[in-house]
Amino acid sequence: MINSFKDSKSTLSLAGLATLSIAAVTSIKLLFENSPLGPTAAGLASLAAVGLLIFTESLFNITNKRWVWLAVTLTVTGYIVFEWPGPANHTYVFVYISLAFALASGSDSSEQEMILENNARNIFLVVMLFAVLQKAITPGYLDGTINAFWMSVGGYGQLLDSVSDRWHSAVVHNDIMMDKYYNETTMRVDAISLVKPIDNLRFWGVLLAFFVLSVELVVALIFVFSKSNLLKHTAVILFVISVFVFRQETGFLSLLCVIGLCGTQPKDVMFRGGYISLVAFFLAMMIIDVGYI
Amino acid sequence: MMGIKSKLVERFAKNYGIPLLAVLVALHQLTHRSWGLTSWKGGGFGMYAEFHPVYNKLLIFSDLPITNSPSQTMLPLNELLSEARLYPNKRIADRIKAECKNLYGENTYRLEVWKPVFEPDSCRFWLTKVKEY
Repeated sequence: MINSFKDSKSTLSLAGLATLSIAAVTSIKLLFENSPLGPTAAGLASLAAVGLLIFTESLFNITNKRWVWLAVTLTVTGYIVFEWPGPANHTYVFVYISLAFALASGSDSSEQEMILENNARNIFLVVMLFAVLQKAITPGYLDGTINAFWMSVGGYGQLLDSVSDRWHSAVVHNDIMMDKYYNETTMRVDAISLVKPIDNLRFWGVLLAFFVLSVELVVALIFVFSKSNLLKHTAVILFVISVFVFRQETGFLSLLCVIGLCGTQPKDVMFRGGYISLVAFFLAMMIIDVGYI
Repeated sequence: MMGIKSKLVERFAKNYGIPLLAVLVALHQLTHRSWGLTSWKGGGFGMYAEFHPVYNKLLIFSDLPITNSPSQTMLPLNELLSEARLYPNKRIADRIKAECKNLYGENTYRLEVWKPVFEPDSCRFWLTKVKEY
């Protein structure tokens, strides 16, 4: 079975199918956002769309058709241009990945692997380096303010804040305080006091800031420069899982998995399985409305 | 010679064309960021670098009291306000004022942009006015 899995599917087919599934689920969730049909209908439509994509791929090999990727790229680019600056950063990543698939599709298999691997590596480097740069140049990031705020109001580390009762109650209390502050009809200029989720909040904020920057930098360098597939894919998979623990960015993380998948070779059965399982997990999270698409 | 050159160009385009595009988009975002665009949007990968734009607050003031209810749907105004939260600037402020005139009639409108401030040592949070149009 493993050999069959290894030999039957090219990187383009696996990663392309994952990308199209992410696109289908995201689009359906957005289309059904204010629909009276409700989340169950959106979930069922998403499952049907993913099933249909797998079926169509097995019949027509759609991931190897350049026009498919050009159509996808143009559609998402149109969305970015007309909705600018609204679309999230990972929408841009989606365009870059689709363009890489458009370049690779139609080429012979060894060139396909090379194009996908090189583009995945370089796109990942650009994403991570700019992520580090943006944080490093933002006043309030390196001094711990931003992370301390997220820790206090619960926008960051939702899976962690339930570990401690004190943290959890602080987040619940602060959330109510913030809602009240923002919903007041008259403008208040005085400050509100929030409850500290942990002692030495600034220290932990600073520590987290440098930890995040170091991890992003190290993972990028490992993925780009390491010759060891074991090291680079383990680094990316651990990074994806740890980011999910901090914040359920299912849309962005599923695309990072596609980038990782593009960097695999047919012999990397374990990592391919890991990436595909993660994409499937994130798609399931999107379908049941957990996280951010 | 030409053949080698075109092969090199093709190879460069296939391997570095898309990452180069990503760099250009990210630099474009950084330029707009210096004019007020949030780091969360625009293709610069600056999520979590600053407060989420949902914490920005916009206030619209009119010189004369508004007594009538809106003459049309509020949807266009809400869309403009959402955009202004991400990228407060004069262009969007002028469009918001024009939409207010459409909805509530001739008046002098003023838009204020308030951004969040957090002080981790005392765990205090407040909003401060950063721009006025």
